[in-house]
Amino acid sequence: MTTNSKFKKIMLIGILLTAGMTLIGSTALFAQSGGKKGSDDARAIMERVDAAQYADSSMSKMSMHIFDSIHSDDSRDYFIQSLSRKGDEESYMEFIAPRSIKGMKILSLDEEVRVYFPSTGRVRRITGSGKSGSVGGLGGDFSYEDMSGGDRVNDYEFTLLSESGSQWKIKGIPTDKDISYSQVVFYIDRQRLLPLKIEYFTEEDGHTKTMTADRVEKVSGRYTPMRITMENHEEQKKTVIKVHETAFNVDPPDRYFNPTRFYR
Amino acid sequence: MQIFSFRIKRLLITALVCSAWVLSVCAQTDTAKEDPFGDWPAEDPSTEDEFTAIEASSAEFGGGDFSAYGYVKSSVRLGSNLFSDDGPQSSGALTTLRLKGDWEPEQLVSAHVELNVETSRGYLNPYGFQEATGLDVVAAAGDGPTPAALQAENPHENFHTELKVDHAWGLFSTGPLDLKIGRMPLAWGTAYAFNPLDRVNSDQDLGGSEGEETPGSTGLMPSLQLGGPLSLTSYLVYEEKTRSAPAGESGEDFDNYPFGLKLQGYHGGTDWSLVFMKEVLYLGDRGSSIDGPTDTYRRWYYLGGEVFTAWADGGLYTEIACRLPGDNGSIDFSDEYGPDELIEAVAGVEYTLEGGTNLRAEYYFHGRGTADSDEYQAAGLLSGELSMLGRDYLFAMVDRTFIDYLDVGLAGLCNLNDGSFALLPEISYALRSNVQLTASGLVPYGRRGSELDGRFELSPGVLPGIDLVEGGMQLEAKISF
Repeated sequence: MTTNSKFKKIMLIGILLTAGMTLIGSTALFAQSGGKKGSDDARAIMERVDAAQYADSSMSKMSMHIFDSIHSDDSRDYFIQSLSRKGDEESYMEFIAPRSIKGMKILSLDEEVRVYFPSTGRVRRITGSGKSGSVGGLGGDFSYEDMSGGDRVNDYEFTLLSESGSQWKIKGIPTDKDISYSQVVFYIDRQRLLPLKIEYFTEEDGHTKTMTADRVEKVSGRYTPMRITMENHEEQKKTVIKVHETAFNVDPPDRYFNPTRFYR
Repeated sequence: MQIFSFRIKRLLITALVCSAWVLSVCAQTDTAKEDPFGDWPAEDPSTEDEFTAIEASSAEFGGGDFSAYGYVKSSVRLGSNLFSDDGPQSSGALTTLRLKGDWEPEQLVSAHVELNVETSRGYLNPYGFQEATGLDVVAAAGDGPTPAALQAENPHENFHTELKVDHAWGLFSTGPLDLKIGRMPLAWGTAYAFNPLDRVNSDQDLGGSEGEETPGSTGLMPSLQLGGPLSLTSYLVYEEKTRSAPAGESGEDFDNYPFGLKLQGYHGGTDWSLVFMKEVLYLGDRGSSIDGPTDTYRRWYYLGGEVFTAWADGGLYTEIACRLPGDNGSIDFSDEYGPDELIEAVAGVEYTLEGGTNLRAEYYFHGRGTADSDEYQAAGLLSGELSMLGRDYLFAMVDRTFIDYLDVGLAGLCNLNDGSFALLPEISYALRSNVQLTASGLVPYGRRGSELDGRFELSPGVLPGIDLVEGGMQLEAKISF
């Protein structure tokens, strides 16, 4: 017997990384939201960011490094290569490391997840992936909610807090009670139309997490952070996502998105 | 009906010939964008230090990328009678080295190999297991070699270590066709504990262990994408189910090659397949141990299918295989048969509770079994003719991650006919990404003669009884590299 929990958490890392590749920096969800009185400026900014950042498809080679403490150099590392299309609606990913799960392939189509286990030669459907949860259980500090926006359309109300020479500071207040944060603050690079820092707040604990994006490179005409760090202030831990190679609007082959063939 | 059997053979050969034709056509199609990732992880000056370890094991090998990896696993089993003098010991130790390699010599072609080295002692050694369970006495009564006799006759052989190439296959993918040949894992069926659609592998183990390997089957497996959501997959295996058939003579008759054809598709959250299969089982010169005089081989045909559909935070699934009446490789609907005896089916549900607790329940109907424990035919279990003895089973499992890297699970299997059951608790901790520590147990319960109690009298008054199920605890450390 092998527990399902472990594979579900590992699977979530893969999905989270792939979703993040397409959507990190993109605020498509926010651009479509708002429209409330007093938030027109913020919404207009988000629309511009969205236009600059949105990619329909992508190819990426990424890694996630989970540190037990903010100051630790010792991490648990996951390496994947992935393809996505239709935003993050359809994604394919393959684990390169750790060695214990090398070759595991995951296909996610409209939230229907199929996992291929190379040693057993079996494809299994994985349900209840817990996209609303975090990668707790594997120590990660990102949650799917942090990386993806698809479920939060129309769930935030934005306000422009300040405007300096190089950045906008925008506050997002969720209007959906299912969102775990009470407030999210974006620091957006005005020139590159890219959020370089996001602060997350909860009612109970105040400022709980900070995400920073750096090593920005222009890839396929799109400014892309090649390193994203999430610091968990509450647990004094951090998780780093590194993008080793990526390309956008790549027209990936259909075979990788076919449930009867993606594993061959 | 022999004519029908001949037609099936001809159909199969035609399908293989057609596959070869499609292969040649597809090979000429433009496949330039087949590999969107290119060489990775390979030498790339822009990549970062973290890839050093991965690149080190990914080397140029005859013109393509070769990657070597695997694991070593060491287990100790502490039998429930460890501190007792009652009966033979059921403790033992097992060390497994699994060395894996991937090779992509060129675009469209890839290969994979898995080498397995096992060193075992005591209850975890196949010969030790025979002695501990009493099967050696049964073998001696049937003029078979006992472990003691085998070792006496072959004093220089190592009966503790086994080396084998378990998987070794090549894959050619082009256009809509994939062709895999060699020794590969063949695992049909998506149910968890029982897979009625798996007619190739031995029934010795329950399925469901994603971390463990499906034993390799030697043969070929072409798959053709039919367009849209449909695909057709087939296999032809050059060995029967027990892998014990002798070389030469009838063992190499084409009639003894199992095969399968599967049409599969999907629609939204639902996956389905329809299957036609031939199963071949070597029975030995004496024929069946439970069906009276038979041929040396048992050849049966099956029709089956499976459906999995997502449901809220869970899934519902069913898998069914129906044996077609007839014997010895023929299909004969005029044969006397009870419809329920031909069916093997699984119906299951899985669900994830808020908070991440995973639940699974699976009902298994085993038509070949019996609901009356007085009619159990344990000899069929030993010969591989029966996967289980009873007719109705319930498998249930719950698992959850409590703290980082710590998974706890409990599974249970119950024979609903005789009330016997076995509990399988497991706790697993990932010390590092590639270091896993696991403690698991087996707690059987049942009256004497019940299936999961495991004690049977094959020939009351003539032979001593056997005991196939012994409780115990297993500690395991696994390092992947």
